[in-house]
Amino acid sequence: MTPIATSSDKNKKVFNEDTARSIANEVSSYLHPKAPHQIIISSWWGAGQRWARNRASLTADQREVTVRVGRGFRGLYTNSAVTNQTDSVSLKGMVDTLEFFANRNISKVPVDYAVDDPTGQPNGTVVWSDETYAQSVTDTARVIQSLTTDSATAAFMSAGYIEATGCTALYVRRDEWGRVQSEWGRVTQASCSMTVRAQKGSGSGWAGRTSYDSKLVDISELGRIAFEKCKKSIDPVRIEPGRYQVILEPAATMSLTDVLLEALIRYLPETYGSGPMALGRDAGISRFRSKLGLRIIDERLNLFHDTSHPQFGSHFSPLHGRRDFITNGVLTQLWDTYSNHVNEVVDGLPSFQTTSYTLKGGEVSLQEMIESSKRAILVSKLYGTDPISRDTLLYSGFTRDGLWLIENGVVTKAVRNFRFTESPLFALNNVEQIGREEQVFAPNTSRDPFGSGSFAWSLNNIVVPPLKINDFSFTSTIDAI
Amino acid sequence: MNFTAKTLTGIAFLLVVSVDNLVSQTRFLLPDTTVDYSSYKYVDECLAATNRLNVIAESAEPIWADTMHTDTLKLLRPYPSHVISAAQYCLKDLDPDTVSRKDFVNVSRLLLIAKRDDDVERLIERLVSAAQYDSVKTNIYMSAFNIYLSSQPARIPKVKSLYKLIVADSTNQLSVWNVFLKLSLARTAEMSGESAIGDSIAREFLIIAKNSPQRLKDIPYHGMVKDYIYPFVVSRALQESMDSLKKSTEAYSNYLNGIWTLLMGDETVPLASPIGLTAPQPIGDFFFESKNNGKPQSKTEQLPQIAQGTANLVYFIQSGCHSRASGNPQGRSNGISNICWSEIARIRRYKKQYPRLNIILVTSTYGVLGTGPALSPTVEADKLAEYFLEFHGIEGALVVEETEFFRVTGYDRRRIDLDGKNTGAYKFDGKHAAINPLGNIFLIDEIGKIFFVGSLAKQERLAYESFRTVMSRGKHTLSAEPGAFRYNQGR
Repeated sequence: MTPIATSSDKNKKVFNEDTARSIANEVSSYLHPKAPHQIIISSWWGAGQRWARNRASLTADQREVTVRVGRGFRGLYTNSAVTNQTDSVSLKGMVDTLEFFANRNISKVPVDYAVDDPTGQPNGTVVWSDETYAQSVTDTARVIQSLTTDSATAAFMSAGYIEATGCTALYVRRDEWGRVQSEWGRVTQASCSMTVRAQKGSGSGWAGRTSYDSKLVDISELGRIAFEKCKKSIDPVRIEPGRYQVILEPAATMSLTDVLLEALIRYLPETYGSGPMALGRDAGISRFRSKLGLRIIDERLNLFHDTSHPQFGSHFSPLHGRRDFITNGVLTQLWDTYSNHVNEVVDGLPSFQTTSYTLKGGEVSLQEMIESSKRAILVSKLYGTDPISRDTLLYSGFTRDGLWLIENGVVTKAVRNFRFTESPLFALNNVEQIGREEQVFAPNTSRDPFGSGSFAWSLNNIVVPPLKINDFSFTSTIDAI
Repeated sequence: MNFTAKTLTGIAFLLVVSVDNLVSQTRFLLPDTTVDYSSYKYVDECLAATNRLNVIAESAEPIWADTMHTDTLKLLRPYPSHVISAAQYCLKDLDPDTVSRKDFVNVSRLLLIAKRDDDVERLIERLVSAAQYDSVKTNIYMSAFNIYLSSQPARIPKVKSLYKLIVADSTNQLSVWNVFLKLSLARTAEMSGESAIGDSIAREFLIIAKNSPQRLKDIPYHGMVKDYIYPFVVSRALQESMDSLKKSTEAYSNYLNGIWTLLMGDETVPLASPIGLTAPQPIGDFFFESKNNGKPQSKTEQLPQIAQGTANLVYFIQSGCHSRASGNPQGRSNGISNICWSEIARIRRYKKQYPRLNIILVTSTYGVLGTGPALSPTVEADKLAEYFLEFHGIEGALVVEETEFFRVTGYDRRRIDLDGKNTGAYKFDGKHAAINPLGNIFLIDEIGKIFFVGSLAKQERLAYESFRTVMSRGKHTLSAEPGAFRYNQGR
């Protein structure tokens, strides 16, 4: 039994490219020499700490390796096998299992046609930070100790987690004509989320952040923000629900933009004439039309994503590059399935669904927004967002972790939480001021990012600004803090 | 307790064996999936299990069933013995006198698989005797009709007796349910080798239409005539139909128009099929001919033409068939009937039977094949020729029309295809649908008149008779006796 991964490799958190390629070469050597196949070698590492009620509760270091091989015809990998062992016997056993099923099913395969790979160039995404990869549990433990001590001193309760992950993947594909394509990519992600609550639940504050680089996730600063918000939100007063001018902090803005992004789907309005992006049937072309080309939100706002951005990029994929979904408020692109795209559009590359995006538009600071408000509500976060009407994107949910009344440019008091009922299609058309965008807390929490066989593990890099919005609808007060 | 060296060696050996088994099992040994049918508690489980066994047996067939001549004896054959024994074992403790009535359908199906026909009769009698209203009894008979019809072998005598109970005594012979029962019986009877039943039902429709003109004004009836009854009647290859076909294309056309008018009453809706009209010559931007037994193909200088003095077959290949030309050698999916493959296999065999048959495949470009990348019309046409003429082994010509299209302006960018010239020409100024609901194969006689439009697979009998007739006209002679024609030669 010859181990492929040496003992020194095994001590590493994730595979490097040489190790991954040596495993792929060995798997390839066991396959039939002319068999088209695809091999994915991925490795994942995640380390983090959790604390609750001012006490550390967990320190973890997890690692996972996935070796997946599939074979079949072009675009049709009908049989696959997977292992997390990298010794020769296991790799050979995996290939033997694959061949057993492949030979049995080779002439009759109960699936329809898979999508051929698009003709994009390999991405080679590197959203990688050595600092994140080297994040020390000892250092973060000291910060947690400091945070929990401060909370305990103030008679507050603190809970949260700090996590760093790293992931590498090698993708090798040999088609039926012997052409070999391979891609290598690696990403890191650092995230932190914490809540501080006052005794007896009379106040609550939250702060969180995600980034590829742990340097940009300032844990001490996040702790200070959560602590301050908790302190300022103690004993909120109840005010009447209704339509208010609101200032949404970026974490609250994300709840609206997430809903909007999810609705930017192409085949639904064009095939069935349904969904919030549907316009109606166009008799001239005998087809349903979408709202492509129409202004759907404030003309100062731009929604886009660049998969290979070095800081906000998201995944390894041949379909990389920048996709502009909304430009100056105008809907310019909808995401689509590849097969629908080639059948309907037959022109250019489609835009896949993404969970990462940037909403860009202004430079006003949060403080300037507060100072310019006569009477408004400052919202830290929205929570529990559920659909009421998917066709109008009308959603309902709650405010949470800090809500304050602003009067004559000054935050005057903490107020009790509200239930809101609002649509981003209305709210984002009622924008008064737009702040400077920043990355918010939205980690990918998958523990087996390549387990499904996909090569596109998405980081959730969401970058949104604070927004001042008029006539935001609060429909009732709630008792929860 | 004292362990001797021998005992310890034995324990060590057992440990090694156990560990080895454990490791093997947790890695790549297939689990033991032996099923004990006697452990099944519910009828649904038994029915699912027997269906699975049957599906596994069918999927083991080495040739796609839909590319073969319709297996007229399939419904007369019993299930494989292991399926029958599984059903019998599963039902060994079942008593039809006590089984729940809500399980009637599934229990009956299983009992028929297990060859316990008497128990099914007892079960039906039990249900009928408990029914208080005639309408409930009729519903039970209709369920039983379908159960007997779909069993294998189909219990045709039982079906006939139930048919009489439900339909023959019914005051409304043309109710939707009665029409569907008639068509189901005819289809199954033909599958069981009894085509005479279908013929008699077709005549029944004609008699009803002749004797009950008031029914013809019923609008739902018109819909059924267009979609079901007319295609059914003309696909029966009735003697009058064959006589007119043999006489001349014009006589056949007149016969079909007569049937159409009779069924539709005084309506002036034009006949769906342009039978008897002169077939337009196909036109295209790219054309190919197979040579040397269909292996290589090359662009010819002259557009393939419908020839005089011989029979011609023009096949409008639908865009759905193009997705099969995406370069995938598999070319199709298992378990899903593929009409393109069904038609092509039959065309290939007709060509083998009648070498002078002039075959022209007609299609147009769509800018893409399957889910592959966008293609130029030239490349797409080449790929289509490679796929249909070489891969499918069609000895004939392929005409590819470059589809005119426009793009929706702005960010939409969708491609909107315009109607092709060939499709337009075969619509005959909009009077006929170029793509017949039943199929899109045109058989054209020796003087260029269309005398069959439809599907070689779905209208196998009529298509076969049409081929025989036209090929025996003029200079043609059958290369085999009619009874010796065989479809099941495979590719």
